[in-house]
Amino acid sequence: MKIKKVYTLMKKDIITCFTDKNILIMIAMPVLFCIFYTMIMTVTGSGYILMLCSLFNLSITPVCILPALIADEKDKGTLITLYRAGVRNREFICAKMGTVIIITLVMAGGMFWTTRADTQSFFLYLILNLIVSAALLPAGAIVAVLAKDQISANVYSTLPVLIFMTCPALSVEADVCKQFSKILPTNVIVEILFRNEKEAVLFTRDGLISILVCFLWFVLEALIFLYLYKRKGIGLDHRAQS
Amino acid sequence: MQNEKIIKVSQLTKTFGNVKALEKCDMEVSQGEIFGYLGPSGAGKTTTIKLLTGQMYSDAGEILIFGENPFSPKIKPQIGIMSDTSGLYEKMTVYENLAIFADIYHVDHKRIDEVLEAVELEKSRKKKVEKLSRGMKQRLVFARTIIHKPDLLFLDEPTANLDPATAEEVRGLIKKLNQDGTTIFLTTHNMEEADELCDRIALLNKGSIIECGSPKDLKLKYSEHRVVLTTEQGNTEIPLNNDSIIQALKENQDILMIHSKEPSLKDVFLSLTAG
Repeated sequence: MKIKKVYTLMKKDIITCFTDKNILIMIAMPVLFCIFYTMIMTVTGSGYILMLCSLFNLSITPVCILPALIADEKDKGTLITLYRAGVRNREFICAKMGTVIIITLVMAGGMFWTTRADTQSFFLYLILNLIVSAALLPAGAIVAVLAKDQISANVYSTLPVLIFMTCPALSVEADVCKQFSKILPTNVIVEILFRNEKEAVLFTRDGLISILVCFLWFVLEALIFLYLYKRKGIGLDHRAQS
Repeated sequence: MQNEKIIKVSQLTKTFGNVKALEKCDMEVSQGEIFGYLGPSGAGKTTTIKLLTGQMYSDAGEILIFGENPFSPKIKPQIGIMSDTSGLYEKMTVYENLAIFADIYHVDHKRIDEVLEAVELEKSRKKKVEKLSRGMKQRLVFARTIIHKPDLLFLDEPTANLDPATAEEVRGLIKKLNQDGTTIFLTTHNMEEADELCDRIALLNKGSIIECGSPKDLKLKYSEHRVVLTTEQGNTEIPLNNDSIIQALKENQDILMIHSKEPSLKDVFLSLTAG
């Protein structure tokens, strides 16, 4: 795998994120909601708004935007053009994943500063966003393998997005959701940042368990992705064309 | 070496379900030639290009491109492929589209200016691709295909859906590239275009190569070997030999035109596929 090629592809993908209207709207939505909620929910703590919008960002960016970027290239015929130029599958996918991680962290940073959260937790907040988005990237890759175009990518990613976002968000109010969200990777944000709002604490029992859950999700998703990839490819593969 | 075989294909077969797209095709393409691969729609031309360029596995047969199998990453920098799908980034500018591939191929960005000049798009370098006309997009695709100076070009119907003026421009670019030493494998269903451009052609019908040779040799081979004399009284056909022509010249004082009655490539193809 050539790093320079991955870098070239990432530059192109970041431009695409800001020129493709569908993708730009998906990226901007969590931040816009953050700004909106911060303006209207002046009584509610900034930590709660940040948690909600972080869940939104982490659910949508790896699971929805990653397959949308890949499906966009399939739709427009640029995927096969890259293949003909010698771009390999792993270079293509790594570039997309790298782009999604950067977008996730930039949006997370934007929301953090919008809510004026405690700056002492900024670094920890970014690390947690990195952990969760990395854990969910293979899920986005699974959607990308299954979806043949952007429309089906959006349809397939809707249910996972709702689950990853809604359950942890409601876990604050409902015990059932709290129990269920313990098995979701996005629970990290709630567990480590929000439950200990006054002081974000990483090394609690529940916090460490939630990070372990992220790791398990990553492994499970990666295995499913590899299985599907061997059967279907991702478009950048002669097996998919036979 | 001029006679070095860049492409070697032996007993190439490809089936889709019950349909035989290609059946035991053999061909060789020499360095520096323009090789035309002709046939009607559905004959197997695009399937052949996909097999030769490593986009698809064959069911049987062997393909060697520069002595390597088509999936070898070694040959990617040596080949350029232009097909029916443009694969352009519409929201990016002409220059940005070429810059992406210049970086992928590790080509200096100065080369972008050269190819833009070659395809006459230098004034449109900052235009977004979505604002270009179809002909300009086709020229941009051509520029992208040659940006890394490939030794072998695969052109899949490069002038399809283009207006005559733009098609003529693209043919001019093809000839220029070949003069500079690039080997070209060209598919088309336009027999006149193949006649104009190609050093050798293969005629493809229902997945099989039915004839192969230079356009001139094929036309001679399938010629009726007759000459048409045009006089004020009309046209007369005579056999193509010295005695007949001399006799006709003696007998007819008011000859306006003499031309050979040779078939076009289209006539050759139709006669081979009739029945």
